[in-house]
Amino acid sequence: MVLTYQYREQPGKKGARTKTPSIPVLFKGVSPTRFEVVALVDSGADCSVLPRGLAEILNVDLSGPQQDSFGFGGKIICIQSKVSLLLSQGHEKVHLEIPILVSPDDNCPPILGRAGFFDVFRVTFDSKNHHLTLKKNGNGPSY
Amino acid sequence: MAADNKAYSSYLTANLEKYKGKWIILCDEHVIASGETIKEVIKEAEKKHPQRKLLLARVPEEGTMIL
Repeated sequence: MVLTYQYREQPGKKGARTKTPSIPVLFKGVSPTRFEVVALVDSGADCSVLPRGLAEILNVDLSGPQQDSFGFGGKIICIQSKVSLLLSQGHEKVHLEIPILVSPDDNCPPILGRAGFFDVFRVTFDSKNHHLTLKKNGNGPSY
Repeated sequence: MAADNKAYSSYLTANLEKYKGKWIILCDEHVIASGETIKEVIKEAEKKHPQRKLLLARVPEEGTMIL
């Protein structure tokens, strides 16, 4: 089973264009609100990240342990939790439960990192053709 | 690819220049809410279209994003 997504091209300064491999994800919380979220697929991130404002709307459990997280912007203290999500395209649907870190910074984009995601899918970034493909691993966990 | 998801298809091609650095909500082809916080845009979008499928996105600011 393969899900294919197109990159978004963001115009920048002096005609430069930035391509971002982001995909629409339905995070399943206990919130009555039903909306998809554009999440950045990031092979360099150890774990997926949700900004706190989104985690609160989804009623994600925020009682978990805190964890130091390091990035280019320095150190922040995140909360360990987990979230269920649904990827769907046409008739294809994949349900996952993945570990997440909840960032106190509401300005950080939702990120799909390696833990629980890259071991379920073989992820291919085709930057030249602006495509991201997710091929479900046969030996990955099924939910 | 994303043909079955109008809001996402629109997100891929829309000119979102004026929303840089903001959270937006798309409903079908239209940006129906924008703002600085997730909670405010969700609330605004729910008020306008309570039963519709919505798409939340953060429009990156200009510059190189290194996480």
